[in-house]
Amino acid sequence: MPLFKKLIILVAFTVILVFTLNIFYIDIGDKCFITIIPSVELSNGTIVSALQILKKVVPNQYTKVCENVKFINTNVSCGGFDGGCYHTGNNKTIYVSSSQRHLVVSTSVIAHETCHLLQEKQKRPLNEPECYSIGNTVLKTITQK
Amino acid sequence: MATILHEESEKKLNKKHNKLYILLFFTISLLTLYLVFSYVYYIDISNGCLIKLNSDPTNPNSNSLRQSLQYIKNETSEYKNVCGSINKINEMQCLSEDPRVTNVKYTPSGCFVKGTKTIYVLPSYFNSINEQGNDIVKYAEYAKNYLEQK
Repeated sequence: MPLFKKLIILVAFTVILVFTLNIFYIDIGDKCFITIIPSVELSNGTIVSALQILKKVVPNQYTKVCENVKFINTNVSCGGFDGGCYHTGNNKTIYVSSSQRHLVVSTSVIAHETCHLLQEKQKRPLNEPECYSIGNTVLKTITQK
Repeated sequence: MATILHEESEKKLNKKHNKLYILLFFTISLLTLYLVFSYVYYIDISNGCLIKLNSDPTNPNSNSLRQSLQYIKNETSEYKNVCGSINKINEMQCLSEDPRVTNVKYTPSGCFVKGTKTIYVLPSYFNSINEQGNDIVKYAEYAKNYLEQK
């Protein structure tokens, strides 16, 4: 195979590998294993950053995410772009649409949708004010203006 | 014999062409990378400053952010702190509260995101480059204090 083609394959493989690394969020110390399903927005990196912010700044919320969420789907769902969604009956998955610039919103949305997941798990009605309040607490905690 | 010589010289020519293509590929790749990098990042190698500017794709205003960073460099003594404490500026509104919960009416000029080296700055909020620069200095101070606490 010509050297030129080998180089192209190597570059393509590297890009795929880097992309793949952001598909699995692994935090062995906190027993956190989350698969981040990619979308056209290529926002896996933002989701990883949001999880790390929760870990450092709002550890109680991070624990809830790690214990209950196994999949974060970054495709657009009922919450629209830069929003989130939780589908009942799918109690390990939350939807978080995001983009690089919306790091703060993404962090809040992860906490908000995890709140809905827990509501269903605890057989309580899906109540928006409770989860808005949690999302708001995350926003106020992680930002300084 | 003539055929063998001809084939050998063709092989040598192909090898030369391959090397040229590889050189061309690398040169174009490096040039493209440099152009993209310098558009997306604020770079000041001599001062160890590398800050990613995430502009609004519908209304990019990274020039005002660059001008503010230049103002900080030329007119203040906080440039080193800014470069050391911040590695990303998101050019957009900072959502520091959920208006559905707090009924907040105002839009802050920006904010620092704890646990990161990221700040938000909304250029349209400011009346001047200097004002925007002073706010960037303020958020860099928050970032530095947060890092020192941890």
